[in-house]
Amino acid sequence: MGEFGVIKTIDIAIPYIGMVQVNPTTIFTTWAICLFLLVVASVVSYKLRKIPSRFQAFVEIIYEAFYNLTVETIGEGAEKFVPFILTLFLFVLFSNWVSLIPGLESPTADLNTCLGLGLLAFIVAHSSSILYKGIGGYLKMYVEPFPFLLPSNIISEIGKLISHSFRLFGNIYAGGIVVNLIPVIVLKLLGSTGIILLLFMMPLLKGFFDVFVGAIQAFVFALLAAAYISVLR
Amino acid sequence: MSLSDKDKESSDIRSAIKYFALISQIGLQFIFCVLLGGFFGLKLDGFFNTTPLFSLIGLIMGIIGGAFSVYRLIFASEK
Repeated sequence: MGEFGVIKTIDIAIPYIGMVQVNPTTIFTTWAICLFLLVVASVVSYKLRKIPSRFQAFVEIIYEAFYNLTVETIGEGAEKFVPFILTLFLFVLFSNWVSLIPGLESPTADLNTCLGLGLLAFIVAHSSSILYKGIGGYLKMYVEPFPFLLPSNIISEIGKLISHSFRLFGNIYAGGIVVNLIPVIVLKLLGSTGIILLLFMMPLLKGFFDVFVGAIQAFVFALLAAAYISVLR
Repeated sequence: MSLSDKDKESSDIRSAIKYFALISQIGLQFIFCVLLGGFFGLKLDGFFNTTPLFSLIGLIMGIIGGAFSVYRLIFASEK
């Protein structure tokens, strides 16, 4: 997201597909977050001790919380989904928090990232359903409770994907717009005296929208992915 | 407070957070299903020139689909 939500994109030619518009900031920050998470995961898992260090204990608390939550939500056989749900949470969390660094923008304020993440959760949920129930049991789900409800069931599956993605995008994008808009309104109303107010207000606003709302939305996104896996099993 | 009381308390907090997240999604999921049903119906009406037959059918299908998806989401969280 650029100035007031204007997305700065560049055109890239991809063989057999043609010209594709991409947001270079989104791509850079996404890769940077992936690299950061890989480095942190490597450091944490490098020297695991029976008597954990403070950092190891902190990571174990987070893992245990997500383990319990995933098992409670998905039920039987949930253990194999814990790494996926936790990775989803950490990626979305750091994507939301990255805008605290001046000059960087949240990849989750770009609809393409949110749709990609939603699609990932959608594919995992449906493929796990096929593995769990078999292809017959999976297809039977679409004609339940009555066969004439087939279009309704298809619509509800697509609706899940879209609402899951748009929810994250809407919250983060709207937060970014509010943070950009409030200084302009304050300066218009109060003139140069508004600068003193903004000095106190902006860290609070950034803290609320990026840290607090970002953490809640990351948690909700991961939890909904677990719930969607649970629904289809 | 014994260990089992603490476990129960943390389980209650987890459940409360989980339900908060799920409830906040219910309205959004329902609305998107209705909009999608209406959208597909509108496109079919445009294609077959049968306005407003498919739009109405799409809307009804969307409402039913939304209701079912919300119902399944709530009951899946009870596992």
